[in-house]
Amino acid sequence: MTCHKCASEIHINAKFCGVCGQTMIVQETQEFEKPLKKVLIFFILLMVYIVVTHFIELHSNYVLELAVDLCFAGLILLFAIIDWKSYLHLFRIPKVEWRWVGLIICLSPIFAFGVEKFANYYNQYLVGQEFIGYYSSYLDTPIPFLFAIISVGVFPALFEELAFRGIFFHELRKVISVQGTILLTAIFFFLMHLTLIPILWILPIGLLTGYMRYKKNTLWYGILLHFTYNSSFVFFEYFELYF
Amino acid sequence: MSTNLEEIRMMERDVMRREIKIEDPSTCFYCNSKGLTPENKFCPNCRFPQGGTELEMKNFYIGTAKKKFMIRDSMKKVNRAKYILFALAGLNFLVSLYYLFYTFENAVLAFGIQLFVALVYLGLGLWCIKKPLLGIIVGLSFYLFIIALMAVIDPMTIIQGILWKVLIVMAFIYGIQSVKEAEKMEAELEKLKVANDFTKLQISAEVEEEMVPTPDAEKLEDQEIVEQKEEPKQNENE
Repeated sequence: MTCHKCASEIHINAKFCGVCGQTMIVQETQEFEKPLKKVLIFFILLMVYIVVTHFIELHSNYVLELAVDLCFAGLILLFAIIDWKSYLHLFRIPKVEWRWVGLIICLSPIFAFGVEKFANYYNQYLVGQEFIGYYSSYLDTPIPFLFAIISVGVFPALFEELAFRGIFFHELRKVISVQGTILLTAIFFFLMHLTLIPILWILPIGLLTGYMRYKKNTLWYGILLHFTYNSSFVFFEYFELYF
Repeated sequence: MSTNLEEIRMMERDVMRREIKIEDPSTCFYCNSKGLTPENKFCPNCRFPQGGTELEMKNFYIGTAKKKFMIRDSMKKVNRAKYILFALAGLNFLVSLYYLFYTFENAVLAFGIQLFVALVYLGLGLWCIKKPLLGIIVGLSFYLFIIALMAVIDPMTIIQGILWKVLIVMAFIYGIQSVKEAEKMEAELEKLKVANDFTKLQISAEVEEEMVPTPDAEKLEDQEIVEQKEEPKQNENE
């Protein structure tokens, strides 16, 4: 190995050139700043989006709701496209582990059932408000069940997973440990829902999907869990109304 | 800042008074790395000017000591972010007390939520002592979350106290940057302290050179491999 400044020979393990003092260590200049900036900007943009959408009357207009969903998807895709190579492998179909798939499909509706009962109780007795169902909000649409599944199940599962377990996870992993990344993505996931009490069920789901993203190095298990959990609420209400 | 300057000046005077005598030129005076050659003006491990003048050596000491002061400065910014979290906890606790003593509709719920927020800030402040980076990131995101939540309830709250909000967010951001800078500088200083044995490594490099196979040796090895592969076939034929 030779010094690129004075061309004198340097020992293979030298950190500096012994003759001119030139550093041989590749400077990791501010490598933490870029991912942290990206995380902060993305977080603030998502917050702004969520606050703005809170003021739009969505339930009366399905086209508007679809437009809002597409805006959300567009915002996330915009951030994903900037560094698309880093996220592409997360969408590769993995070797299916049926034990995991079975567990997700069986346990998430059970968990959703418990959450629904608690949320109903909490809304009725503590807040004093009637909970507007996921399915009944789409009764004005041409195919209510399908539209509800797309809006409640498919969209959030795909794009929230890409946002939290894709973009946030990837950027935070450059700066902090795996455990810290899983915890932070779960906390961000909870904060984005802009409510306090649901910490009891959103945080565990965030932790579980984050763990699965790390263990399996794919988003598909998280997407499946998110989809089955969210869609369960639509199913419960549908069966309650018609059966 | 003035105390820092005074401390730096005192440290400089202290270093200048000291005498640096190099007894073994092949061993670095600063990091004790072995195997330094007469051509080495600088130590290849820590950049200490072993072959330089005494003034250069003293300047090296001053430079590394200044890095320690910079780490201390960064930690001050981290502590500022931590104190903000404690202050926010205190403020929220006071507001929760206000809800407790003044009766209005849903006062108990408001008290509970405010107390929960205060406890979260307190927890984050305490977490900052052990894990400053995680604590400040979560603290900042939780603060932004509260601003967003209040904005949903009443949009005018975004403008209220905007200067304070910006200052707090900036303090958190500087805190995050400072944690990483301090971590990086500490790691650099730690790396410089670890001694290296260049004589030992030079020998191993020579051994590696000896181990590089010559073309003839490669041919011989290939022949041997071919023979080994052919042997079982012969046995099969038999």
